[in-house]
Amino acid sequence: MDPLQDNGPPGPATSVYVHVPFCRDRCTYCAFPTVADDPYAHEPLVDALLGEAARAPIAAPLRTLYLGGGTPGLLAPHLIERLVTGLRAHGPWAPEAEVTIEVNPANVTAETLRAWTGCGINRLSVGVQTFRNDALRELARRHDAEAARRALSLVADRWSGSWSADLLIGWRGQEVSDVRRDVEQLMRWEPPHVSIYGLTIEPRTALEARARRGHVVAAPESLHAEMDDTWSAVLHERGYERYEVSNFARAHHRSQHNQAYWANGSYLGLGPGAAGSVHPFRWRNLADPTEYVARIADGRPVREFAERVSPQARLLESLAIGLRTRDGLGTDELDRRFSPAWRTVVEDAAAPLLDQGILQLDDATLRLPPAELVRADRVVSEIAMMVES
Amino acid sequence: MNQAHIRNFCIIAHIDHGKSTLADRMLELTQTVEKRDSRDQQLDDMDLERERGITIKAKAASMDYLKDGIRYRLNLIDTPGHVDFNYEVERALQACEGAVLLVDAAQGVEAQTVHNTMLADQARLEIIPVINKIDLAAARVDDVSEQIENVLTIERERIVPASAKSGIGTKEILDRIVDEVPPPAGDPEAPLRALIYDAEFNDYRGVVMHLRIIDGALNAGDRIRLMAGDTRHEAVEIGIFRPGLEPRKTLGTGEVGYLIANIKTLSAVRIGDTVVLDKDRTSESLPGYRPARPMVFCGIYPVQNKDFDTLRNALTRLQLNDAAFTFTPESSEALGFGFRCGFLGLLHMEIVQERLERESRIDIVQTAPNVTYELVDTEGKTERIDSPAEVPDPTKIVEFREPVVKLDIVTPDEFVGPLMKLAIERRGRFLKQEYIGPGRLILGFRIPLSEIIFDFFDKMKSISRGYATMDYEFESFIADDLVKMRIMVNGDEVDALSTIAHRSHCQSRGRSILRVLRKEIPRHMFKVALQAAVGGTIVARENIAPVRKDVTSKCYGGDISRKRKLLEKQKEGKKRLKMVGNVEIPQKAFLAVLSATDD
Ligand SMILES: Nc1nc2c(ncn2[C@@H]2O[C@H](COP(=O)(O)OP(=O)(O)OP(=O)(O)O)[C@@H](O)[C@H]2O)c(=O)[nH]1
Ligand SMILES: C[S@@+](CC[C@H](N)C(=O)[O-])C[C@H]1O[C@@H](n2cnc3c(N)ncnc32)[C@H](O)[C@@H]1O
Ligand code: SF4
Ligand SMILES: [Mg+2]
Repeated sequence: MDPLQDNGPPGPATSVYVHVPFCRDRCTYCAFPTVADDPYAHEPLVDALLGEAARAPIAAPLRTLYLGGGTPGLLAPHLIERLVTGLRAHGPWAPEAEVTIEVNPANVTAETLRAWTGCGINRLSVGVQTFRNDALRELARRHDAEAARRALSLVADRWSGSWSADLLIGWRGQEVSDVRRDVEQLMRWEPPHVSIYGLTIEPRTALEARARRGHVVAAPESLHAEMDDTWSAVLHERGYERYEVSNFARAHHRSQHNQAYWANGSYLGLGPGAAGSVHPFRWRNLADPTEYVARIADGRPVREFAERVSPQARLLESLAIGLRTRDGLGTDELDRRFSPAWRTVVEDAAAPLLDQGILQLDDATLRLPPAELVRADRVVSEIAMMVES
Repeated sequence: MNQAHIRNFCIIAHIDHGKSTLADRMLELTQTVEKRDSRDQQLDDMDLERERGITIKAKAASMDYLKDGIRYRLNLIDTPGHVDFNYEVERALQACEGAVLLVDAAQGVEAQTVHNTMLADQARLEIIPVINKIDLAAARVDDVSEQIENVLTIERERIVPASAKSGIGTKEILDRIVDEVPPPAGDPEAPLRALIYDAEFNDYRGVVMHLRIIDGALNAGDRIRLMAGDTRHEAVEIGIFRPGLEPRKTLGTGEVGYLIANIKTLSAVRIGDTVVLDKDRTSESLPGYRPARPMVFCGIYPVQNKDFDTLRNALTRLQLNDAAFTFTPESSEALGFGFRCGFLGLLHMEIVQERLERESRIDIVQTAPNVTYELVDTEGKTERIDSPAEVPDPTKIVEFREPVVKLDIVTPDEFVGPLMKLAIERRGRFLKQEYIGPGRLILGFRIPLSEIIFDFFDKMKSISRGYATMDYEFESFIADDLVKMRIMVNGDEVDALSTIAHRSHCQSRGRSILRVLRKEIPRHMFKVALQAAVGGTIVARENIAPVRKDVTSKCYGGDISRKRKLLEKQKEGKKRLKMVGNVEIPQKAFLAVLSATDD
């Protein structure tokens, strides 16, 4: 048998992620690379981001740009404009390029909405999390339910682009009925896209510290399945497609940027703490924004970690993210990228899963049946157990 | 060394009454160690002894002490107090003419005090009674004196009050040793006979034998013979304990010291054996010891089969320093190839396991411990059984016997009722009850060993708010209605989870074992059915529901390497699980029987 190879993704990097690390407060569950907001740091950061972009120019027509965080919605519109315009200067963009910004409800006003459109942004991701004020307070979110409703109404009325709302599920004290109320309430504004993230207790967060001290910090695991049944039923009824474990979209509103990740393609990551991948490498930048800005200014490297990813590890990655999607992985693309040797790897590692129909391999795709999607991570960890990486 | 100026003694007591602390004071007062070099309980030099604050191995030290213008050589042996290590005390006693018996002034006479005094009497040692810790506010010197007089039949006038902590009484104890402990008997003119009372293994020097010269003398360079194995060696180095090894040219009659003879395996040396000069062909061996016989067994398996040899090497190394620990290869359908290991008791087991983990760095699975049994089969043959897996079909068994011990509990009288109840629930038979002082008594029972080695001690302590103490001694194997209980996971019998239990206890034990298993075995993609069975009858069942949802449904952003790292970590964790059929069972589950408490 030929050894497994990695011929790389079908094309060059056509997606760019930009990390804006500022937040007003740190939410109790969040382990993302963020720092306390300092308005004076915004402009130097934008300059540095453009400086980093100049080091690794975008070669192909760019298809997706994602301003994430942190809270990029905190940046003043003129800085966002400078950033987007600066990135455009590196080369042509695809005509339908998707340009997303992550915002918190407090960032949304009639003015900012208008300004964002003016900068070329055509997709919003609004962090709602829940409409329960006690939970928002406990999670140290800056906004309350009223602010979220106001922001959502503005977006629904005035925003012409695509948009998404994030909900957080599984916080302490949450009941199945709360899940239903949150999802149903969100439906009033008919978001074209919804992300529902199950609360994960991450290391080095306030929640984790509380948990270590013996406190209950999350809804019991025994409720998770029923909660999932609840939101997926509501969203299904309203015509959303669960195209990834945590993501639901109406027709034509899937996130193009996330799909680029899930195809394990190449993308650039700019900014402190941002990660990127260009075949056959992966890297991550240092997280400290001050240090990042200083190093860009001095022409010094900002990557704190880089690796050459082995074909085995790449295949495992492709499975780990691809099996979480409804479409799964195309066998033609797997054959092309990894050589047919991937079949032996998967068949050896996942024989019991294939036998039980938990994993399906037919001529065109390798995927989980829709009913099994909610156990995707478990399936992947069973497979990971058996493969070298 | 003039034989008349030698005194050999050991320090004996119940656990924690202050033996090692008194040894410290003696080493300082005789300037064997400089005070500023010394740390607390310095004879407790193993890591585990220091971490747990207890003595595990008996240890010797030679001290010089001037009294009335004469320089005496005092050889001290500090002994452990825990019941698992009683055999260490027995061996130490054989090397001495005297024993310093400590009794804690606040705790009074305890089960181990009684037992050790009896052993010292049997070995005909001169006993110097000491009440220690008189500095404590809770000290009750009068009460404790009365207990010593009543139970140990030692006149209270002979008791030395002392505080090993502050040094009060140390000099008086040393003086009394010189005055009252007889010098060693033994014939300096006779051919050499030395008792090997202990041995340890040193990576560079090989086996270091601990000797007591009974007759004659041993010189460095002598050609010697170990009588039991009839093997010949050269006395490469001899010397005394200070407490480190200090070489000497000669060890004379009555002295305690060490012998290094280029012996590379501890198994070549039998503790209790006699060392003679090779040229003396007619010497008779000394009486020696009854070997310490393990009564508690468990299986130890490598998680990964490839580690089998590494595990064997690690066990062999441990045995070098612990002759009471045994192991033989065994195999289990569930766990593959491993070893059945024998221990003196549960503390001994814990200590060996801890050393194994620390020193070998391989992942091991340990099965729940069981005692050793005796079976009489249909042909009248008697067989020793160290593992439930070895139990044959019930139709082939005529008699199923278990070890039964004599158990002594010393307790304040207010706890007698509940302690009685505990012992009787555990199939104990009441033998006696004796007052040993005001409000304090000894309860005697005959009880199966299997009923007291697990949680009995903890239960006894909690019932008596920590005041009761226990000691036990093996008596005999006695037949009872014992059966093997099997555990099935998704229909597959897991031999490593089988246990032997009294028929009347099976149902409740089965239930509690399954309850623990349900907690310890992670959920799977499919339902996992657990059953406990005796013969063909299911006595308990439980199910583990399958995982219905498992997504860390957070966006990893572009940081996919993080996701991979997470998977790799999970994978490492899972390597530590044993697969039985397609069910993953974590190490802890194999100890379920241990943590299962019947109720
Ligand atoms: N107050 C007081 N404490 C003492 C005295 N002697 C010993 N101790 C303390 O009692 C505890 C046990 O002392 P050890 O010397 O380790 O007792 P041991 O008898 O050697 O214990 P094992 O070897 O485990 O049986 C330690 O915390 C000592 O500090 C004393 O005279 N007075
Ligand atoms: C990192 S945030 C950035 C956008 C914005 N700052 C916000 O909070 O909405 C993106 C999404 O990740 C979610 N998230 C962050 N930490 C999480 C965790 N530990 N478990 C689940 N979701 C989490 C947030 O709630 C949010 O919806
Ligand atoms: S969840 Fe969003 S707002 Fe909260 S700390 Fe993280 S990035 Fe900032
Ligand atoms: Mg001690």
